[in-house]
Order: sequence, then C-alpha cells, then structure tokens
Amino acid sequence: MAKKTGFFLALAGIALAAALYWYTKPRQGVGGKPADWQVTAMELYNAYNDNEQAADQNFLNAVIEVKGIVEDIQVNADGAVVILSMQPGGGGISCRFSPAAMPDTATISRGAPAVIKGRCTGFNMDVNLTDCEIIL
Amino acid sequence: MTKWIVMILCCMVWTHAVAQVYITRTGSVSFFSKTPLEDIKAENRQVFAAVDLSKKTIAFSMLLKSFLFRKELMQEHFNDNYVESDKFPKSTFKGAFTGEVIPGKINTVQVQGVLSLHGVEKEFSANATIELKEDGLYGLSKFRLTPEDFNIKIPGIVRDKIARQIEVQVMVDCKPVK
Repeated sequence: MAKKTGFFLALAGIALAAALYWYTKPRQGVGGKPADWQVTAMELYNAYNDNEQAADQNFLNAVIEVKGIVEDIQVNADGAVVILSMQPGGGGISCRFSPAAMPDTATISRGAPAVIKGRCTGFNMDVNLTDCEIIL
Repeated sequence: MTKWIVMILCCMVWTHAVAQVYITRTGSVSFFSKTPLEDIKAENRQVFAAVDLSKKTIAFSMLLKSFLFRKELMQEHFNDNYVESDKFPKSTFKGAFTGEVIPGKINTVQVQGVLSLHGVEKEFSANATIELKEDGLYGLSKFRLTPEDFNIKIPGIVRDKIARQIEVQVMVDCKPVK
C-alpha cells in the first residue's frame, strides 16, 4: 500500500514539475532553429506589398533569414530595432532584437549589408520580424 | 529693413515647420496587468505612428503578433485565445488632438478618436503629452483599457490572474517627413 502511495505521489510530483516548467517556460527565440525561408529584403517586401494574404500563407510565423542593407538602427534598454532595405514605396523590413540578442554595433552599421534571422509577424508598412539575431 | 526680412523669413520657415507631418515605424506600445497572483507585461516596438501638426491628427497601426511576452505560454494565449491575432492581425487608432503644441515645451493634449482592436471599433479618448524638439516630436500617453470592451473574453479559470483594466503606455519618437 505504502509502495503504491509513494508511486502515485512521485507521479503527481513529476506531473506538477512538468506543468510548472510548461507554464513558466521563457519565450523561445529563433536561436538554433533553421530558417524556413532565405530571401532578400526586396523579395520579402515585394511579396507582402503585392499580395499580403498570399505572403502571409508563406511567411507568417515562419523563421526567415533576410539579406539586405541596414537603413536604420534604433537602440534602447528594451532591445533594438533594425530597419533593412527601405523600398521606394517607403517600407522595408523591421527587425526587432531582444536585449539578450542585441546586435553588436561594431559588426552592424548603417549602409552595410547584413543577414538577419527572425520570426515573421506580418506586414504593417514594414514587414515585421521579431526575436531577431544577426547571422552575418 | 533687413531685420524685418529676417523676421518674415523666420515666420515663413516656422509656418512650414509646424505644417510638417511626423512619423515613426519604431514606436512603442506596452501593456501591463498587475494582480496579486501574477504580473503580465508585453511590449511592441514596431508601431507605426503619424502625427500631422497642422491638421492635429494622429494615427497608429500595429501588429498584435509583434507584442512580445517573457513567457511563451502567455504569448500563445494572448494571440490564440484573447486577441485572436490570426483573425484580427492589427490594432489601429485614428483620431485628432486638441490643445496647443508649443515647441520646446511638454504640452498636454487631449486625444480623441476611434480605436480598433479584436474587430471592435470604439470611441476612445486619453490625455497625452507632445514635445516638439528640433530633431523630432516625442509623444507619450498612459491609459487603461478593459478587455471586455473589445469583446475579449477572459476564461473564468484565469480571470483572477488578469487585471480587470489593463494599463497601456504609448511612446513615440517621430521624425519629420522630408
């Protein structure tokens, strides 16, 4: 009887620990995840600008590696936003970095090419990528 | 005479300056829910905002999926169960403000307009501050929203973990449109 009780208590403990882990698990970035797409900033922007719904079918929630020219870098305590390759229409690729993955300003600068990986969250004047990290 | 010409030119430049439209694509909207059981915070730093000083109009647009939470499960619940971001991907505000914007000062204005969230459009007003500097326009507003006003249903099992009113903070650092 005592053996049975001990077994069920251990089982309940494991289930509780698993639930607690699942509940408190920090947001996972794109680190270590392979890119679903490798595109240029112009290809990604044009896809959204031409047909947002069709582009969402391919890119929304996907991990995307984008190659483009750094147009702007906005840094504050809560991370950074890098704008890649503004297009003639006025939009570009907006890449948000969390404080833990802040881009090194020694390796990234305005006017220089960069490859950035992030998760696509849609189109709002710019194509938005979050949880970004610098690849090159 | 020269003095008068300079003064007239300054007035012309100033008239042109105040007629400018200011925009940002990296505005910040964050919200905070505080209860004895849990604190929840999320921030979106990819907010598009435009302020037209001559018409005294303001517009905001943001993707709900661009709000980032510390915990993965919270972010999932926010997108899938509460704001249903696949169905209603954006939140927007279009409105106007009343009050004078004097350069170099922190001006308190009243903002009024229509806030769209979760497929619901609602009349909305809040106080805000606008500071016009040489390099741009800085705006700040803090207000509270009730999820139920936007048809966002919070299940009973987590009701005590989410505040009845959510504190929202909007911060924009807009540059003049050239």
